[in-house]
Amino acid sequence: MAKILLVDDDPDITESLTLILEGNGHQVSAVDNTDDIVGTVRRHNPDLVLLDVIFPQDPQAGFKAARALALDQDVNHIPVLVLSAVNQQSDLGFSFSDKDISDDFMPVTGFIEKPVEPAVLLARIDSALRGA
Amino acid sequence: MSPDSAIHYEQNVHVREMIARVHWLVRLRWGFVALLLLAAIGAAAGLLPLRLDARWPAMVGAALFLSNLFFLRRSRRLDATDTDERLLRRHGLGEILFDYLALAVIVHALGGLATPAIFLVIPNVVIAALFFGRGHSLVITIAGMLLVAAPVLLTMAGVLPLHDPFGDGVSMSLAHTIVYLAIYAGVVLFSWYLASHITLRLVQDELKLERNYRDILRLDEARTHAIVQGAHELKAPLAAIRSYAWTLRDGYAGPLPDKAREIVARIGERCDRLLSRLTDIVRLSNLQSFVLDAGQRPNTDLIAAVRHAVSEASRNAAARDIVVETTLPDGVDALPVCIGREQLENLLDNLLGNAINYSRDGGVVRMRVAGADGGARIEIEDQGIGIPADALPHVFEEHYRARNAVSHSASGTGLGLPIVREILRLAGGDIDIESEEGKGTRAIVTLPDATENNHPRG
Repeated sequence: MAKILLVDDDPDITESLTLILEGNGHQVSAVDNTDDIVGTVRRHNPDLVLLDVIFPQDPQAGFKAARALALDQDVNHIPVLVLSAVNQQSDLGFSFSDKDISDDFMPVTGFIEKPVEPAVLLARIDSALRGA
Repeated sequence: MSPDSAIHYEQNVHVREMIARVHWLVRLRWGFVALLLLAAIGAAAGLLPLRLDARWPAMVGAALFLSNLFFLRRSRRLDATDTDERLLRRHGLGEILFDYLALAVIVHALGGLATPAIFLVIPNVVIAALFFGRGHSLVITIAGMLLVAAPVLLTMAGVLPLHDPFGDGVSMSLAHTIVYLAIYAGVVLFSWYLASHITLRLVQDELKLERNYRDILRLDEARTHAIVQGAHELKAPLAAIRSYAWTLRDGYAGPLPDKAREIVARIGERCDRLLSRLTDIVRLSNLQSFVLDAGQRPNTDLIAAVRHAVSEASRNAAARDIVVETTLPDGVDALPVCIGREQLENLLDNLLGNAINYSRDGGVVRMRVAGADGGARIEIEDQGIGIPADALPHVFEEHYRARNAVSHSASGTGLGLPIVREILRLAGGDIDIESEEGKGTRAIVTLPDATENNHPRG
């Protein structure tokens, strides 16, 4: 059972994911933006971060947040799973998937396509936690 | 597009048009060279009904031939991207003046006013009107008209000897000559008026057309943007609905009666289908708007893309015991093709997805990749339900799905193949689909080489 920080601007996604995660014994806290993401992660000190990529204010917010977390010595050991919509394209015209993971470009543990099948979500979270 | 670049674009259209005229003028001149050489041969063999020294047409023909070689060389160096209009005009002026000079010699050789040869200036008047604005073309026309009439005047003044090719003993009275020249001037000036007037109208219409075309492109771009935006906006609530449906279905919000769970699951599935349809619409709209980005030369490794697509597709295939066999070219590590990575992946996903989707459980999908001359060839073959012969011509139409496709698999938006074809059209590739109902389908894709000198179409 893990402490999970959910970062997503959609309250309905947040609520449904929270129900699923809590239903499986995880402890969930949620924030709806990536402002001061490093401070937020430090405060909550979660075992895993679930991060949305595209926020209305900034289509790259999730991407920037992932890099900020990777650069911080205190929190960069925490696995980050990025939630991205199926083939969702940002205004920059690119989409992400597991093949984009790299320390320089997308320093995250993995990508989960949104909306997520509960079983897939739980399995990915388990394997990310085991790897950590 | 900014107004500045619109003006630049219109100038470019104009320059391209002028270059086309220069090329056309050069081609036209070869015809005259041929005629003059025929006349020279005819005169030398005594086949012409006039006494013409064969040296005259031979000389003018040779001069035209040599000058045309020169003009041809120069016109080949003209390029719409870096040629300014002034240079082009000077080029055109050179050609037109040279033609007037040649005409002056021809008119003189044919006896001055003894033939209507002097009216051969009219095509030149029209050409000048095509190349230049009204003022300039009038000056050129008057200069040319005088140049061609000069031998007549010089002959009258006794400076040049009179040619009498018909042996009629041309002795025109002064009054006759003046009337003749006045009519000549009138016809030439009237021709100039008509030609320049019509040209002006044509140029204005042409620019208007170009402007309208740009406006339509801009509108289309805005429309595409609105579609993409709208689809994105629809996706977020749908995704939330689907997420809730799964939450309910799996009992995370409390236990549900069986029937309720089944209904909730169906709500989720319908959302799924809607979402994938929206994704396809966004993809297709994005592709169509790529038309405006023509000119880039993407370079993607086909082999890596195929490996990636196969590993992605294998998960779906394995769930239905379908085997995907891949044959890659021997001893080739990378096969660069002229297409964007995103588009290539999209294309392979769609074709492999179709092959797997319409295979029967336990079937085999074969994918063969080979380098073809100046590009690559991909064959994706399945042993699935195939496409009925009457449906085959329609598979590239948006939202079309064959009867047996609908009954085999409820999902599918009928946008997969239109997307594939659009991608290939823009990349300069091609697709061919062979199929037999009940036996299977083979898709053959050809892609342009990344190193070849080809241009994405748009």
